[in-house]
Amino acid sequence: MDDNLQQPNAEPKIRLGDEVDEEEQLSGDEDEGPDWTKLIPNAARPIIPKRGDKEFEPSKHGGSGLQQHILNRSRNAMFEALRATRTISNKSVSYGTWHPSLSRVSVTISRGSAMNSIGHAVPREIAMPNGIIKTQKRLELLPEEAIYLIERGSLICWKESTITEYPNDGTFEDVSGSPMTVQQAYTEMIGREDLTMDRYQVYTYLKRLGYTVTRSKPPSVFYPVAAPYPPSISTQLSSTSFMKRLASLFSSWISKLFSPIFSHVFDWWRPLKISPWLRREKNYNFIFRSLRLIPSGHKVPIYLPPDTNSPPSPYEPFFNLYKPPTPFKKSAPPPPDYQIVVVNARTTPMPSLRELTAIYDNAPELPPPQPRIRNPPQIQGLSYKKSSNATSENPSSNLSQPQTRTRNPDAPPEPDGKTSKSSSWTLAGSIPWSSWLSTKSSQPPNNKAERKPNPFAVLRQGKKTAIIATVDAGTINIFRFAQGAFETGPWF
Amino acid sequence: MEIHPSYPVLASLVEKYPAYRGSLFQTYNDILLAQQWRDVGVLDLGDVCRRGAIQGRRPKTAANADALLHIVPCSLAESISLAWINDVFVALGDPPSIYLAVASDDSSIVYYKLSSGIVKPSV
Amino acid sequence: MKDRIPIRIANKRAYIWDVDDLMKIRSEHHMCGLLVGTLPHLSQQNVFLGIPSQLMPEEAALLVEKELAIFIDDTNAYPEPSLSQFKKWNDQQRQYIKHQQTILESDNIKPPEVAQRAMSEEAIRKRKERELKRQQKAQELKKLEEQARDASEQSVFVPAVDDAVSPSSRPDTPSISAPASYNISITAPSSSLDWYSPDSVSFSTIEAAKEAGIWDFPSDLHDRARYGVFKDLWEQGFFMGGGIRFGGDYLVYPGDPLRYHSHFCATVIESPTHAINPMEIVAHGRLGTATKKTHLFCGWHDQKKKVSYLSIEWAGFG
Repeated sequence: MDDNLQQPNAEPKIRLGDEVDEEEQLSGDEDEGPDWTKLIPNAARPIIPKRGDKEFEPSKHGGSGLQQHILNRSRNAMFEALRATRTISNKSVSYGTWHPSLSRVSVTISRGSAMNSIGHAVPREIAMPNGIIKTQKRLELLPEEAIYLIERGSLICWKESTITEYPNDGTFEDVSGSPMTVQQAYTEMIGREDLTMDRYQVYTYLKRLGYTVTRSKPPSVFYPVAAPYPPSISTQLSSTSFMKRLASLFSSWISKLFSPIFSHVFDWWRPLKISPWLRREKNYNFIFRSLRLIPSGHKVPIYLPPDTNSPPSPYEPFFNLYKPPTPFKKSAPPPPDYQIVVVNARTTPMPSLRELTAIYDNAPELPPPQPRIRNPPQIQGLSYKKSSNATSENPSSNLSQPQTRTRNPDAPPEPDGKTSKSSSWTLAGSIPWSSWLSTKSSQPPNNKAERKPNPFAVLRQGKKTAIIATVDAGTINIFRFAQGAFETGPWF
Repeated sequence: MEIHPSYPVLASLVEKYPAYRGSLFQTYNDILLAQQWRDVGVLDLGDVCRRGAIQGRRPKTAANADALLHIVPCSLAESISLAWINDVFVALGDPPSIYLAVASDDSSIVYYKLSSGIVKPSV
Repeated sequence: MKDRIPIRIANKRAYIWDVDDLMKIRSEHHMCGLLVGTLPHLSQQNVFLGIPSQLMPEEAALLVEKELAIFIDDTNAYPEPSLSQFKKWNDQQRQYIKHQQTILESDNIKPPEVAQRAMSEEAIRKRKERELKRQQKAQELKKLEEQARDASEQSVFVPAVDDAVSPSSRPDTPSISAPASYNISITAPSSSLDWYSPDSVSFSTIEAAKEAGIWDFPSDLHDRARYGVFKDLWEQGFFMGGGIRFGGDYLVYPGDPLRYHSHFCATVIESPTHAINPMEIVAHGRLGTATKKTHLFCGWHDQKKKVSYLSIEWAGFG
């Protein structure tokens, strides 16, 4: 694209050059062959217009001549980018058929790395050419998966016809119905199988960031269910003695603190029992704990009123997310890295405590955040920058940052297929969990156990997390709610 | 409150509108003593708005120091409405803007400028 | 009716699918919509999105009320194409591929140096840098890719085709000769399809669309207040965008958001007597001041169908 700028008819003055490195785009393509789009004038790659500095307001009467001129150029650059044709090499394109009755697209020819994490196998009865009906497994796409692939130019989708047999003269490798436009896919596939526009937008937003996205609740029996979360982190990392040690250290230490309370009968008139000879009772922690009359913490179940036939909550996780470096197997998905709820910002009220608690109850417990000092300073800086660019990439780091169209010129993480993996080290650097995992083996465990995590980081992260995407007429904001753990933590 | 040097000035309004005495007292003292306004006086907003207001001029060093400004106290805990704010504007003779003093229980106080109509931010 | 902009309705959402319509809405009717589609060839970024543009319900309803646009029930605008319609479409696709081949052939005559020379030194330097980076990346990736392959291969199903298989080796696709590789285009807007028939499912008023069950905004007091405020500000010449990022209902711009910052964040208040918590004034006022915006409280009088405005700023003291 800088090539475009070098041409004499380009307008370098207004700096229309886009900010996304060309590498980003090339890696989005599947084909390794010659880049045909460069040869065909009307199929040129779009150029993301640079926004430039905005002004405070137009001068009187709709803006000065100069302001009008600059505005027109900005607009033209934008519309030019929007006119880009959606093309794909015949060697990379996949084919599919939309079956409205099934709310599924069956894939007839599957190509490209985009398919690696999309679609699931379903046994269907298929009429063979010789008329025999046979049950055969085929690759099927949910509506969101199909639209996404069509939209990114990877899938040619036909609409199944029960009346007309459309001839194939060889222009396309497969013809299995009438051709569908992107518009038709939006119109006919959204609204099917619980897919709303809001959910679709969150789906594509995350896919464009490189996440693998699946449904939290299987829409059919053939849809692979993600493995459940392991019961606790210490068992998950059974081999790492350090984690075990830390956990046992924690629990024994806590039970030590609690034991005086449980072992004696609690006396309301004399909550504080300090024996003259036990040294361990002569500290603030012990005294504060002894004085805590009202039980606190999330182990105490919340009050649930008798069921009053309330409608189902909109706050149910809809998508499972896998970070790009997470190994993903389509037929047996691992436990998701995150689960995300999608709500309509205009019609949904704030989540109730009960709704949030329901989400937390199904979420895995987060490991304590990594002490900051572990990160070499330069990586720390980098991870900060990353996480402020795209929060959802690291939802645990920001609470309420504006999301989708922040128009941040820095390249978003770009993890499709190959490139994702190379960027995994930066992701690891910015995600507390993964950096915790990656450093655990290399660090001498004793070292770490000695240093308590920063109490503010622990509070900020919380023990459980609920990620909620709100969509208001197309604008996506992703929020993270966390279940704070004030009753236990490094301050005790 | 009664023995405070400010009390005599506020006495009649405090007695007339006892529900709002706290925020009035707090705001008056803050404006007079902490913000160092000049020509500080109190006004009765009358039967519609049912509370006292404060008027005065900002310290000599402030921009536009000579303008007579109006401050309406309210408590963080109460509930107001656009209709009420409109009544306040009317009771004060439709100034272009008023200041709303929001007083909280811990005696902290914040001021917000409310202008009627669409007033764009200064550059 | 003819020159009105078609707003495609699906699932009670309003979309613009044609760039020309979008241009018209923006430059003639100072409305923006929001691009929500994936931009072709730049499908791994969220910075700049592509067609379609989703209109706020306020925008769509106002365009129709002002007789600038009509609603199309897009769900029912797709009759099945006839055989001849399909053949015509198929021929166009074939022409497109042929066209590429001609261009390709004429391009191939040029020696590659010509293209090289046309590039500035700067461009060549950049390209070399990229090439180097790519090679480094490729090495890192190789290992990881193999892992991924292992994982994915188990889940690729029946008719999967290896990327390397050339079309000529497939029995049913012999007819296009010459270069085995060419581009296929996937159309976004349906207006280019011969069989697309929006005319019989178009509605020129909000009421008609509501009756047909394809649209429901504005439906209650909350919607009416939003719509009334939106309309009033739009009629004063402001550009409007969604305000949820700043804790409001709308962002209000003095000119095209492409070039100007918003002046206001607006909150719609359903009635003059609607309770306002002073904390809202503090929160909005403070955020507005921090972002160089005035916060607007927009009070809707449902009986009078009028809006009154209150501008909020931090006082600058206290």
